[in-house]
Amino acid sequence: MSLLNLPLIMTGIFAFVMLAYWLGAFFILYHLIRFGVGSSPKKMSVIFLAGSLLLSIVVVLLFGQLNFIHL
Amino acid sequence: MLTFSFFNKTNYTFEGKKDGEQVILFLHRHWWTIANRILIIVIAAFAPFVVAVAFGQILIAQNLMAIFAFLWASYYLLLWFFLFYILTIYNLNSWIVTNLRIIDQHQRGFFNQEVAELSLVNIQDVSFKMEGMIATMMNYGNIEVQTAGNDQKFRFSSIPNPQHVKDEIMKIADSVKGHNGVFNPIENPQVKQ
Repeated sequence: MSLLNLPLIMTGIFAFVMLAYWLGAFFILYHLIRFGVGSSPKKMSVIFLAGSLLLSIVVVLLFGQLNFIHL
Repeated sequence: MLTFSFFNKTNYTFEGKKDGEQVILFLHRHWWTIANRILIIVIAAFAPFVVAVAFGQILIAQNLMAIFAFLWASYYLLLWFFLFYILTIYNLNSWIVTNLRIIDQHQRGFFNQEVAELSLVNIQDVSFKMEGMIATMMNYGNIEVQTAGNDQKFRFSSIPNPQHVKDEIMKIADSVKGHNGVFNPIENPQVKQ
C-alpha cells in the first residue's frame, strides 16, 4: 500500500492551509491586542477569534465529509 | 468580573506611554475611507449563493454538494480573515493627542509600522482642508500641524469633524505655552477627552 495516496496528500495540504490561516489569525490577534489603543481592538479580537474558531470547526467537519476515493 | 474589565475599562494605554501622560484626543480616519473595501467583502459573501442557485442542479446531479459546501465554508473563512485584516489596519492607523505630544501611528501591513511624534510646544499653526463632495457631505478632511523650527508638517488624514479637532488642538497648543509644555486637562475642562 502506497503512503502517497490521494486522501493523505489532500489531508496534508489541508493541514498546511489551516496552519497558514491560523498563523495569519495570530498576527491579527497579536496586533490588535498589543498595538490597539482602547478597549475596542480587544473586543474586536474576541469577535475575530470566535468567528475564526467557529468557521474553522465547520471547515474541518466538512473536510471530513469529503470522499476522495469517489472524486 | 475583574478578569474581563479590560474590555470596557480603558485608560487609552499604548506602547511608550509616559508616566502621567493622558490621552486627550484619539483619532482614526473616517469610516467612509474603508467602506468601499467592506462593501466588496459583503458583495463577495453573496457569490456562493449565486453559484448555488445557478449550478445547484448540476452540483446535485454530479454528487458535488459535499465539496461545494466545503469550498463555501473555506471561502467564508478567507473573507472573515480579510474583513478583520482591513479592520485591524484601520484601527492601528491612528493619531493620539496627549497632554505632552501628538503621536502619529501608521500601520501599512503586519510588519510595516511607522510612528512619529511631535511635542505640543513645537506646534505653531493648525489648519484643515476638506476636499471633494463626499468629504464635505460626510464631514471629514485632512489636518496639518505646522511645527516650529523646520518645514516638517504633521498630517492627519481623513479625520472626522476636522474643524472641531483643529480647534481642540489649537486650544491644547495655546494652553501648554507657559506651562512647561504640559497640558493640564483639569485646568482646561472645555477640551473633550
